[in-house]
Amino acid sequence: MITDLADPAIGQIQVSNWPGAFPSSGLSENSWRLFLKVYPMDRGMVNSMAMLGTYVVDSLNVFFKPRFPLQHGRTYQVELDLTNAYVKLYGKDLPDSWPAQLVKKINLPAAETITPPEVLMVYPSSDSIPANQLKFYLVFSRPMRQVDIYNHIRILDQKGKAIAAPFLELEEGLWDPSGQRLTIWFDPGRIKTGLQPNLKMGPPLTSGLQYTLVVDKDWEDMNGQPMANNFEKTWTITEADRQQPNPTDWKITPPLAASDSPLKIEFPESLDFAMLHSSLAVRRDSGPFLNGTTSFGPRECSWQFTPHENWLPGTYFLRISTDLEDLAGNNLNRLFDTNLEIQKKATLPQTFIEIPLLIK
Amino acid sequence: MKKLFTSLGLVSLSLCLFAHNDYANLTKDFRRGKAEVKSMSVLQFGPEGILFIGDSKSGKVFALDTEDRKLNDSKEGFELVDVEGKLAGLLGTDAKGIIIHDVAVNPISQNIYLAVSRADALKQGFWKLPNDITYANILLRLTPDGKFEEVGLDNIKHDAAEVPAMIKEGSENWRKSDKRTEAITDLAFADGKLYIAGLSNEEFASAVRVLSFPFGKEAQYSTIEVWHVAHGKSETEAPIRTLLPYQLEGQPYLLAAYTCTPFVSIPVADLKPGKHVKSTTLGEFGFGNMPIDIISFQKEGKDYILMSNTSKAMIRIDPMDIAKYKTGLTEPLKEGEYAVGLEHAVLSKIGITQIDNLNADNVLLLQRMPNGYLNLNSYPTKWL
Repeated sequence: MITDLADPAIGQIQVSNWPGAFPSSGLSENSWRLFLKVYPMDRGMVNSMAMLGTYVVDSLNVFFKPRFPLQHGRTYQVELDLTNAYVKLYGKDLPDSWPAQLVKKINLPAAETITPPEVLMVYPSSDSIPANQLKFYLVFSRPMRQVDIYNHIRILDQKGKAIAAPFLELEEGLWDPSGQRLTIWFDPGRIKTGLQPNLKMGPPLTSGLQYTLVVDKDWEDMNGQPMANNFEKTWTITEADRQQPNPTDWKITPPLAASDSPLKIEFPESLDFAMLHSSLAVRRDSGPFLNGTTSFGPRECSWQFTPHENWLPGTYFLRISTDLEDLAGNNLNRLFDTNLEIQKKATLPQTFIEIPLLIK
Repeated sequence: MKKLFTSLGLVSLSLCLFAHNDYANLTKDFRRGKAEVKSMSVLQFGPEGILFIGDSKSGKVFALDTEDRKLNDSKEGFELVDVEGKLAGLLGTDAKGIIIHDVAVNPISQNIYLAVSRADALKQGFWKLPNDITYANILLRLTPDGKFEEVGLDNIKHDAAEVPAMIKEGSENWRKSDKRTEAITDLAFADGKLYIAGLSNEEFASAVRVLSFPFGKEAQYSTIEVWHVAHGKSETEAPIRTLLPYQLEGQPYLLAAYTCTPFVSIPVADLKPGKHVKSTTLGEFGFGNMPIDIISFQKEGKDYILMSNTSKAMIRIDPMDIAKYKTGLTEPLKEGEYAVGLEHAVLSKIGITQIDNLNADNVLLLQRMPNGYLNLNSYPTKWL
């Protein structure tokens, strides 16, 4: 009768499988607020106050989304006042064969039974990055609390001392919709030559030195469970990268016709992890972009595309979005750190370029 | 917490005398939409049901139109047992998972507003303040008949103003809490001015900012120095914990209290832009004590000041005694001394945190009872 999605990432209680053909959408969300109530329990006692939250109704279900997330290890009592809901809907008394009220306890498993969250990956995955590295990505195993981000991450120098103010501190952080991938920018004002932060503090990273990124274990996931261990990643800093990526330097290995072997592209440098996801696509002649799977090689120095359907003989085009960046934020149209007044006034920047691929 | 401007013979309920067109004038710049409040660090009612929120995290003050202006002139008391337990129901947790950051009574309707978060209240050691633990992120309204509802901020008439020169995140105070949580420690409203106490990024960090309301020009701010008797030195780092605008001999002052407990006066006329102001230490109410909240009230036509504290739970001050301390204290505490200067009566109360005027006959106390419950209790002023 009352089912429980029990996944705090979803965080809702779903009520479905109504007796008879009770149409849940026959009552407004405000009515359901009166008839469907959820109470938290504490050591076996049901609280007398129903939880605040929002109600969403469709033809089969009522969803209750609590104002604050459901908690692991807690039991909630869901009470459905069928008697009054029925009267409200049909204007007559509930049939005797129906239960007057439905009560169900639902329990979320304790957090200890779930593995702690962890940092799965840091991109760039390379062990060396340029001194003008623009940003990096943390990929977590679960959605994380999106508060106090910059109290949980720091960059240590070789003596283990945290470097001051390395990041562009965006209040809520830049998270992907899943809450698992966080983009951290080094302070662009310190990277761009001639800006005040750059003149006063210099760039955050110095070439030739090593730095260690530390993600603190006290960072909690959405359910309040912290990581088990600190995460660390050490980078050696190379000279600042002041060259734009250039597709003519890429090694492109076309696949064979009538096969599903991958199209492989190797870059002479690491490219931006997130941009690689969105900046490359393949199509046959002027047809639609192909569906397929993409993957990256080590250090984000290569990209592979395997189409869902076999390659056919003929001409394909690799489309490259010109906002594809290297690690220093240089893209196909411009350097990240450039004086726009001096830069030659070129033709309007292109949004993409296409490279023909002859498949035999 | 409420600190409406108060002078001898003028009760806080004088707000009811505001003409209706004041409402239109005060809210003329308000826009309906999402109030981007990131932390409800302190609450303070102004006139016409306007609720000020001091937001340390975003570095702003918000003025919300609660649209809660139906006059309730009841002189009845109020009692709600186990507030944490009831809030736990609303927020889907247990009583220890609730922190109440501030309480303010709307003087027009007597509705009680609470800034609340869902965090672990038991993490609060003796010195840990609610804002040290987490930022309050839900505003609730409690009616005189004991019903709660959320005051949604997604679509509310409001205005906001930046607070200048806020202390940055990243450094700790003696309680091992981020100093940013003390960027705004208290608000007070008097004569069209909002006074904002807390820490600035100036060398002398403790500051009072003055912002006219309706919000117009940028806030001006002054840094404040206090002679701390028990520490035997002048201090500029510690923030004012609570403040009260008050008329002394016809002149407007701010009365302010600090941790370890200097109680000072600051002439409002001295709060000039960018000026460093030396306050007058009227008294010191004892080391090892932290003031929490301050209000004034009237009993039999006479004004008193009431202050809640961590150790001396509730003290009462007779404003007539303040006149005796014109020059202020300047000597360190002597061996064997504890509290010095301004006389104050320590009332027989325990566990008081937030206090506010409820109505003409009662003050409202948020009080940890001997049985462990956190209650909202009113207390008749005639017994204070």
